[in-house]
Amino acid sequence: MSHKKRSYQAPFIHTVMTAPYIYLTHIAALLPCVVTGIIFYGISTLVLIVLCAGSFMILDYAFGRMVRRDGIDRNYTDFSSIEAGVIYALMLPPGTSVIVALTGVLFGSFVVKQFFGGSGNNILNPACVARLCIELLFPTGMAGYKTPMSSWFDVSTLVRGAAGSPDVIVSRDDTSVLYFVELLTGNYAGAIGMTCALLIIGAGVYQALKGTIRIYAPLAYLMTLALLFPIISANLDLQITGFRSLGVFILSSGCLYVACYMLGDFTTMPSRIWGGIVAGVMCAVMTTILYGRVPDTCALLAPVMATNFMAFEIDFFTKTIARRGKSRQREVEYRG
Amino acid sequence: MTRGRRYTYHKGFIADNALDFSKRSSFIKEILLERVNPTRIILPCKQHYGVSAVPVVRPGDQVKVGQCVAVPPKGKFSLAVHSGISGVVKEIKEIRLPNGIVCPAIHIENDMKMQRVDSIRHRENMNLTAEDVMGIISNAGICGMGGEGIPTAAKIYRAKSHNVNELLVNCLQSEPYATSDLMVLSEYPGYVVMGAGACARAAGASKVVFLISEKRSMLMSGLENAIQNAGRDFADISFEVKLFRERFPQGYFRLVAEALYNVKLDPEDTLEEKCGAVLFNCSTMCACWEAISENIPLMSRVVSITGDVTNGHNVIVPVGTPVSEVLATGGRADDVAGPVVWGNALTGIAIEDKENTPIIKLTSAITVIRKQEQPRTPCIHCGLCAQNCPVGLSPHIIYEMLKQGMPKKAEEEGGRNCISCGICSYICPAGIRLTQRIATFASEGRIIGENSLLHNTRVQYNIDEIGDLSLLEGYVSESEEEEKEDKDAIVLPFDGGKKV
Repeated sequence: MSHKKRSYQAPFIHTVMTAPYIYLTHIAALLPCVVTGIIFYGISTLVLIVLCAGSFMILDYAFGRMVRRDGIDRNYTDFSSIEAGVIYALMLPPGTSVIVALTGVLFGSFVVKQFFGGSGNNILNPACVARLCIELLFPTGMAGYKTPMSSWFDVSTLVRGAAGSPDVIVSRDDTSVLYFVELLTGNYAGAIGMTCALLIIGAGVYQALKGTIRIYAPLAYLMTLALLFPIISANLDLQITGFRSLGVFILSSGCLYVACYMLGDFTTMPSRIWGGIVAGVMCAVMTTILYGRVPDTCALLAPVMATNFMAFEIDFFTKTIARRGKSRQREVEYRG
Repeated sequence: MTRGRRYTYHKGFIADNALDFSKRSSFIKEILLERVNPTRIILPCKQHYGVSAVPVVRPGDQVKVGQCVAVPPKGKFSLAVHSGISGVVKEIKEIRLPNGIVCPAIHIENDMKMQRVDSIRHRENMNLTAEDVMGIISNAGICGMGGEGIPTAAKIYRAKSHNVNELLVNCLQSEPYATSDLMVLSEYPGYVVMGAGACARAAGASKVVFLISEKRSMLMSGLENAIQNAGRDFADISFEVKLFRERFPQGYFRLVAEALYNVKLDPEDTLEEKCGAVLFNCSTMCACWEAISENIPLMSRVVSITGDVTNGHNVIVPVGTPVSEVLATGGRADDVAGPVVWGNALTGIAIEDKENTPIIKLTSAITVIRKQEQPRTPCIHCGLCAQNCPVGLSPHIIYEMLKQGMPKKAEEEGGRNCISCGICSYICPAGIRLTQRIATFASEGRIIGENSLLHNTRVQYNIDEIGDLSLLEGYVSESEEEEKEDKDAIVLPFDGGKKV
C-alpha cells in the first residue's frame, strides 16, 4: 500500500470564482463607463485610460517579479492592477495631463499597493488614494473638465493639461439645473466615468448579481447619505431642497461611483454584514461632514480612505460583539 | 405530513449559489442497479468508529456470503465484519487505509458460487423488543454509512438514554456528484421507512422526520407511499418529511440542528442531548431493516462511481471490493489521468493504489476528477471563506496564525472546531489550500483524545478475549444475557464513560 500518512488533499474541485474572475468581472462592469467616457470626451480620455491601466499593470508586474512571495506563481495575472488603473482613470477630469495622471499611478502603485506587500495586501484602495493624492498635489491641474461631444480629437490637454484647449472649462457643470435624463445619461461636464449614473447603477447591479462585490456597505452608504442630505444641503447653501435636489446630489456627486466601485470591494472593506453596514454608515457620515468644506473629490474619497484604514477594526469589533451576544444567549440558556 | 417551509443553516450568500451541487449530481434512476461480483475482496477489520474487530477465519478457510469473518473483541467498542462473497480466505495481513487507519485485513478470493449462509432468510417472528433490535443491528455490523462510522446500535442506545422524541433520517446527500443515498431512497423507500420506524421504536422516539433536499423532490412520491404503507405497522409513530435547501454540507448534524431547531451546537454537544433528536443516514436505515427483516448483515452497499469524466452511475458493491474493480464498471473511468478519489470530491482522499484500496462500509462514492490546476494567487482578503464556513470560523485568519507559528491563537480562534468540509478551499478565489492546513491542525487536537480511547488498533487479541460470537445466525435474545451485558459492557467514547 502506498498510503503513508493521512493527508488532506481535498477538495478536488473549485468554484469558478477565482481572483482573476473577480477582477475581470469588475473590469467588465467598468467597460460601459469607459466607452461612454470616450464617446463624450474624445480620444484623449482613451489615451488616459490606457495609460493609467497599463502603467499600473507594468509597475505591479515589475514589483511582483522583484519581490518573490512564497508559494505564489511569479507569472500570475490577477487583473487587479488593470482594474485599479481603470477605476482611477475614470475619476480624472477629461483634460488631465499625462504627468499628473502618472503621478497618481506612481503613488497608488508604489506607496499604497507595493509598500504593503503587493496585490491583496493593500489596506487602502489604490485608485482612491491615487486620485486623492493628485487632487491635493495638483489642485489646478484637476480642473480640466470638457463639455461632452466637443473637441473629440483634441489631445493637447494630455501635454498641457487644462490650459491645453479652449474647450476645457475650469469647473464642472452646475448640475442643479440639469434634467434627470441628462444626469442619468451623463451628458454634462464631469469626470470621465463618473457622470453616467445609469451605467454606474447597472454596473453595480451586475457585480452584485455576479457576487463579486458586497452590497451591504454601498447600500448603507447611499441610504445614510440620503438621510443626512438636509445637512449636506445646509453645508452647500442649496436654494432648492427636497427630493429633486436629493436626486441631483445622488446622481451627480459621484457617490454612486464610490459606492459601486470602492465600498463593495472585497479586499479593503469589512467582510462581515454588520461590518459592512457600519463602514457604509461611517463613510457617509464623514462625507456629510466634509461636503462643502473641502473640495468635492476630497469629501468623497477621504472618507473611503478612512474607512479602509478602519476596516480591520470594524470587522474585529462587529465579530466580538456578535460573539458576546452568543455567549450571553448561551448563559441564559444554561441558567434557564 | 407537512411540507412548505425550506430549512437551511444560515451562512453567507454567493450569487451563483456555489454550494448547491445538485447540478453536479444528476440523478438518473437506473432501470436495474448493477451488482458487482468482484474476483476478490479485502475486508479491513476496522471500518467503523472504535477498535478493530478480530479475524475468526484463517487462510484456506471457506467462507460464504454473509458469514462473519471478524468479531468485536470482548468488552470493546467495535463491530463485526461479514463477507459479501463466497470463496477462500487467501491471507490476513495488515492494511493501511487511505484515511490512515491501520488494521488487519482479510483477503478473500471469490469462487463465484455465491453460496449464502443459511441464516439469511426472512425473519418469522417480528415481535422484537428494543434490545432485540439493537442486538440484531449490532451483530449485523451496521455503522453510520454516511461517513460517520459510529456503530448504529450504540447510537440508538444513546438516543434511548437521552429520551429522544424525534428520529431524523438524513436523505440530504449534498456532496457533488454523489447520489448513492438518493438511489437507496429511490430503490428501497420501504426499507428506509421500515428501518427508521424500527429504530425509532427501539430508541423510544415518537416521530420520524425524513430530511430531503428540495431539488430531489422526485423521490417524494415513493417515500410518501412507503410512509403510508408503514403506517399500519407503526401506528404509534408519526412520520413527517421536511424539505431542505440544497447546500453543502447540509447533512452534518450540527447544521441540521441549526436548520431544524435553531440550536447552535458546540463540538462537544450532541443532537440527542440538546435537541432531543437522533440523526441516521437513510442507507443505514435501509441496512437496519435488511438485518431486522431478512437477517442480512451489512456486507454490501450502494456506491456512486462518479465525477466529471465518467457517466455517473450507482452500483451495489460487496464491502471490501477493490476500487479498481468498481471503476471497471464505469467504462473508461479507469483510463483517466486525473486523481481517483476515495469518497466525494470535497472531502475524499486521492488514492494511487486502486488495486489494493477497498470499498468500506462508509464509502459512498468513488470520484474520478479531471486534473485541475488552480492558479495560486495572493490572498485578496475577501473573507469569502469566513462568510461560507458552516461552523462560523474565519479560515483565512486561522491559516495566517498557523503560518506564523501561533497555534495557541489559532485554537482560540476556533481552529480545532474545523469539520474538514473543504468549503474554504473550494471557495477561496486565491486557490489557497486552507482546509489542508486547518483540518490537519484540528485533527492533531482530536488524535490526542481518541488515541487513548479508541485507536489502539495494533493491539493483538487472544482468541479468549473475543466477545460472544457476533453472527446474526447465532443471535438469540434472552433475558439472562442482560447479566452478561454488564460484564461485557463497552464504553461509549462520546458519553463520558457511560457503559452500554
